[in-house]
Amino acid sequence: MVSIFYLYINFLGRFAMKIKKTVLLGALTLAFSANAFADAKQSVIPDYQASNPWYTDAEAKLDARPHFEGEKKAKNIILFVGDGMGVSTVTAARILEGQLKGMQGEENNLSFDMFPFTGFAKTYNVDAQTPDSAGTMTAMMSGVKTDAGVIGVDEDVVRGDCSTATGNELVTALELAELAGKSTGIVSTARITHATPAATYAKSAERNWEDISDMPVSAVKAGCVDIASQLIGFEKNLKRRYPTAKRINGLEVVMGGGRRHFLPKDPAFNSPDARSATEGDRTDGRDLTAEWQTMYPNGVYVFDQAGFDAIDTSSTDKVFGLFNESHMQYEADRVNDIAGEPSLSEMTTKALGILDNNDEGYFLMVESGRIDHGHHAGNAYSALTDTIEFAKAIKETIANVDMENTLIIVTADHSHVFTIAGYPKRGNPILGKVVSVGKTEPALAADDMPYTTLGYTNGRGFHDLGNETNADASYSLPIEAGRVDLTSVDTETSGFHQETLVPRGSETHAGEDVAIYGKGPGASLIGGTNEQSIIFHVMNRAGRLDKKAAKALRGSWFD
Amino acid sequence: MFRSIFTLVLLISTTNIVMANCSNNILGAKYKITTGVTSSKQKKTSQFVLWRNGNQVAHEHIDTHITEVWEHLKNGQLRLVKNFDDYNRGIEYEPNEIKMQHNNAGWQLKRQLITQSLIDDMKLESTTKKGCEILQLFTRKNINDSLNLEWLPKQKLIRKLTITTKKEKVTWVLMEIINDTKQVQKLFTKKAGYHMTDYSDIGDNESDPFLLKMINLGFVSHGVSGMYNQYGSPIEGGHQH
Repeated sequence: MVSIFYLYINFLGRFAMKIKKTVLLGALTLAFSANAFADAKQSVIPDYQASNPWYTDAEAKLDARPHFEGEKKAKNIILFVGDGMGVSTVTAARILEGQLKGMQGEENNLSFDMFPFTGFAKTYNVDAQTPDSAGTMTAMMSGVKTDAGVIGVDEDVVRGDCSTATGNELVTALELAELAGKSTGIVSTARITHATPAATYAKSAERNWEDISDMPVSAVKAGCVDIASQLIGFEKNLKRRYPTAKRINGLEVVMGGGRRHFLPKDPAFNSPDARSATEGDRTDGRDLTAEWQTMYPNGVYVFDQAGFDAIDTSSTDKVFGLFNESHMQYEADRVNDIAGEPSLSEMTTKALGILDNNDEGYFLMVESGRIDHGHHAGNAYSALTDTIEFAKAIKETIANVDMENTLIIVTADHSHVFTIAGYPKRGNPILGKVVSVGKTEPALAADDMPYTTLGYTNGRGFHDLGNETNADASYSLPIEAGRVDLTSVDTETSGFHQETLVPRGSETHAGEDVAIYGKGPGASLIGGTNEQSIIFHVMNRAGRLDKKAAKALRGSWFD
Repeated sequence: MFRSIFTLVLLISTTNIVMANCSNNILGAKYKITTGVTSSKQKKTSQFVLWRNGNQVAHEHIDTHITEVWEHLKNGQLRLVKNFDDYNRGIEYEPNEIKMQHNNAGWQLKRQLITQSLIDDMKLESTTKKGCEILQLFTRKNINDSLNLEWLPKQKLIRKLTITTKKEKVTWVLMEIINDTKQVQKLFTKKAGYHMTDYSDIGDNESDPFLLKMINLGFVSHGVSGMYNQYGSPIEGGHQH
């Protein structure tokens, strides 16, 4: 730091010959001290987070990584999360997309297959070998691994115990971007209060506290706030945590499902396209959509395709879109939605159109939230078609952003027990039965019955629901694990649920590593096998989020 | 003539059924279901209550303590909440998560337990009237089964339905009609107060002991046994409990 000082002095001296160096040196010393004092007053990253071993280990790992000289910093950062999109899901979706395009399939590439930098993420939670979305997304957004089932707080929290959350809250990459004056947005096909999107903005000892009616009375009395309220209160809450911050102005884009968590449990508050007699779940009488509109009178609240289509991204400051009472539709089911829902790729493109109005840049998180649900229901069709739509959203993003200053990371929070097995011949329909090389008829297993290429290790097992396009329908039928004669079954239909070995109420997550794909400035930091929490550190370094946030807090021109 | 007298006697003799109120929009209808296997003398009985509250219908399975609340939505689709009464918890299903006919026939099946098209397919044997109350007798016989239906067209209720196949005989008997609006609405209000979980969220919540147990009990996807669809085929595969 001192050497930089003197270099700076010499630089100035060449152009300010009449200014005595001693006077200038003294002035600069005073300014440096003032800023150092300001630094000491407010840390952007809480000390307990910055000193957490997960955090420090990741920083050390990145320090040791080769750096590209002169690599630009990322002005914009986009994190794409395919919930439950393990490697086998990527491979199968790649093949399916290719086959739908008329190819053999295997040689196809999904959009993010072409990203230049890849690595692996170890997904385990601190207390779980096979993780859940809450702990994993907290790790990705905050740089610190934590327990399963908690949102935005570290492992010192006891799940479900409100009193343990305070003092263990973690700052996220989205919050750093907000502090730095960037525009911020979250998009998901799940409820926007669900674990993955929630981990970008909320702090909760329990992922299921999506609205006040989900919380035990003791938690409410203890002062814990439900996740939907935290979303609406994002700006206020962040300002309270960082009172010297000047650039916080709230999330510019929020789009997803979960309208019921924002409306009172009163039919009078039903949306025009409400399906239920009483749409809302809130028992505190609050209409959070109205509160949002009061807070942001220039913002636009939308709930259907027509409203979405009417958004003018060039003139819209803020958008709050809640397109379903609960989760949005599977992509394969979206045509059945009554009021119409935008697709993930449509939401992403619209979000970017709003976010890129900010010259400071933006942070966007996009989640394909129902790949996970398709797998839980044991329905590969839904999981893979949602993955294909996810890849489309990424493809359209690449076409719409300036990749010179935009970092895109694509990853999954965890995997599923989803397998591609047997020895099917090249180009065999990925959703079909195994037909061996050189053969035309399905191969038979040792039980003289055909079998599908795709399968699940556990779950509800075989169901042939024909053209039923909602994967969750299989939950209504008894568990049928084990082998079934598929000879006369069309396994490529949307309603087919693959066989399973171990009978369970629903298929589970898997514990193996997931892939991380990176493109753009800072993506070269991705590589090798890592703790999943490294994703925060890659984004932070690439975008210098903590430094920009600290600078914004200081109001200083030092960088 | 004898058939009419018999029917009238039957109508009068069933004194435990209060039928003065002929409205059909808000009511409860208690049934006793008897299932007998043809090859043996064994019989099984169960209790079922059909509740109606406007565009909501509840199927209360007394013996298993599960109540299915069906809602007829504005767009014609049906939504289901499966309530587990022992636990005060429910599972919510969106319309596209339920494999069934989301049309008038589907709603009829839930609301009155039998479709109008099936009734139309049967032979009307007699009609008797008593005030606003009308009782119709229908029969149908084919190679697979025979049906005998006593139908209350004003209330849109089965008074008695007997389905006889080669293997079994199932009889539904209406034991009581509840016209107390408050009592009916109280039931729906109580169920709506249960702690709900989305069907699609079950996979992320198996740490919840209730969900784990409920899943392993199996879902009642087909309601009670003995109901026929408009094609005359058994549409309910029997209890899965």
